[in-house]
Amino acid sequence: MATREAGKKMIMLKSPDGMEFEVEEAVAMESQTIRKMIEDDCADTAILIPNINSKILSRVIEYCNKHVPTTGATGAAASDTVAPAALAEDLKIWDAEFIKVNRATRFNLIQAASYLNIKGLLDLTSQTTIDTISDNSLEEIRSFLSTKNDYLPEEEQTIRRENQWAFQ
Amino acid sequence: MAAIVENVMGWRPGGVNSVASATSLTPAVDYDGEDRISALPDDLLRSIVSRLPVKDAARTASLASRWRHLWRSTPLSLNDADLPRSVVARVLADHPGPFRAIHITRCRFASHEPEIAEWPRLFAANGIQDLVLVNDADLARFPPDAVRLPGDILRCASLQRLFLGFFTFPDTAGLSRRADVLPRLQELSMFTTSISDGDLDYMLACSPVLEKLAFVLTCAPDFIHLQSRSLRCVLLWIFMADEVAVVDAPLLERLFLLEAPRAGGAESTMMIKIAHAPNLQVLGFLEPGFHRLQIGDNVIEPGTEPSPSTVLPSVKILAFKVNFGVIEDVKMLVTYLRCFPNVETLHIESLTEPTGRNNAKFWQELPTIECIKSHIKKMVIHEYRGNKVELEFLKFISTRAQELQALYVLLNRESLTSVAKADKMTSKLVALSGVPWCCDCKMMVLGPKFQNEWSIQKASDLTVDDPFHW
Repeated sequence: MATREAGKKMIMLKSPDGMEFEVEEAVAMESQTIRKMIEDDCADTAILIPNINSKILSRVIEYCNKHVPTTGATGAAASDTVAPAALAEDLKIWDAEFIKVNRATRFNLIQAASYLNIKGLLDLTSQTTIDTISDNSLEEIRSFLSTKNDYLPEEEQTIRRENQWAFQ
Repeated sequence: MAAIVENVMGWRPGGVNSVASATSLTPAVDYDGEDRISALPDDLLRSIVSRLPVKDAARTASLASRWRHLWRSTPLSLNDADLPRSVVARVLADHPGPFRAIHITRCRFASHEPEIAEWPRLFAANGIQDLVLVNDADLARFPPDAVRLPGDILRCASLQRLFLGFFTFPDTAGLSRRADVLPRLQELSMFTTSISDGDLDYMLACSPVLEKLAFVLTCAPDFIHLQSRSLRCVLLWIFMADEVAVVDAPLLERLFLLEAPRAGGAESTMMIKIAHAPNLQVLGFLEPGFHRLQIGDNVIEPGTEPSPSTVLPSVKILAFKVNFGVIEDVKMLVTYLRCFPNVETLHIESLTEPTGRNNAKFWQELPTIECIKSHIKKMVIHEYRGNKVELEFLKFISTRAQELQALYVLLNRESLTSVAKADKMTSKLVALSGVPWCCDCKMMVLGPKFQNEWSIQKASDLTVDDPFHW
């Protein structure tokens, strides 16, 4: 557990499997859902995060820790010596590493990002699926996503005709 | 054309290129045979569909019945770069709406084409939020044929961002000015799009939450009068006008003057009037030889002494373009600096090859400049060529700026023709450390790739602390 730094307010997040995570309020507020709870004063002790197990929650916190904007004295000093563009590039590389997870974890992360309303994480976790669907044939997409084609042949023909332009 | 527009804007609808991609697909390794994506709720699948290129998005309906209704029930995002020209109109007509982001840059609208008459109505009826509409004009004929946008574009009440390119703005004369015309419009950008001063006044009056206004490569109107309770950022980029007046803009934080065109020769000037902008924090690039400055009722002339009615104390970040070899410009620079007593970050871009004089005496004998002496913490010299005149100015800074913490010197690309020349430039800068600095300051010499590449998005990103040193 991280030691409390002077002046930094900490928030306790609980997963349904009983784990507790103490995080800086600023980090927790990367989640718009949690931000709203804090701003509405519903979060004085601990916040139970339903449906997100400790394994996924710890990864989400890891993401928020990395992406929380640095402010204050140390933050200003950092951005004075390192070009912000370089910082953004570092973050991109970190993101690419972060998302190298198996598919089950990735879809759990998508759901967590959606529930907690963390736009950057939702973009990142969805991107692999977006890349899968872009520029691949229907058969390839189905195979990658393990989605079964449950259309009858004539049904599939009808639907295809509706959007014929998308297949040209 | 589309590429130019994307560079100028710095964004695409959907922002698909802004996210790190995972490494290439490895389905064999990743394969566990379970259809996890179909278990996601509709709104999550829609958010994925909404970020796909429109063709891929529409094709998902054919994947499986789970996907059947998703594309048609997802707000439409369309970039005409992803489609054959002939299909755009059909997709717009077929999709049941609403429209989230439409990006048209590859369509040549001549005034007789039906699309330009119909589409604005269609956009308005479908509650469009983001619209990029660029007439793919014939650049071989410059200025290209002006096509006037129909006034229906002003009926898009849900518009939040509007970017227009190669159009003439609709005529608003006779329309009543009400705050509910464009109640959600936050960003308005015009690229080679002429608008009359009256039409601009209309837009400002009818867009109560408009925060960001940008003109790029535009020469009309001749007079810009900014009067808005919501504007926070104004960008004028390769923009030619006789006068830019901030009449009343209580929230205005940033006023950018980028790459001012000096086509009219030495006599041409642009008047910058700041009447009421109590929150203005970022201003530049001011060019002493080109921009004339008026604060309140006072035109700032060479030698104008600072008084409460000739200063803008709110400005913290200030940028200039100066030819250090032209003494008149240097004197004007000094006069202007005295108008901004609280500047903490100063950017100066050095212009063109100078004359033989080095102005050493001028700088040595110069009385105190308040902001240089007591407030400047960060200074950046852009396009540094290593001339005597630039060095003399740096010496002046090093001996006068008591609060300076960081000095960045960004080298000019053309001056770095050989290793020997680069060495000479840096050794001269190192020699600067021989002069007695009056502050504890670090100096950094940076190559040309640290120069800013501007885009509308970058300039208007209000979360960036120093937009001139991105």
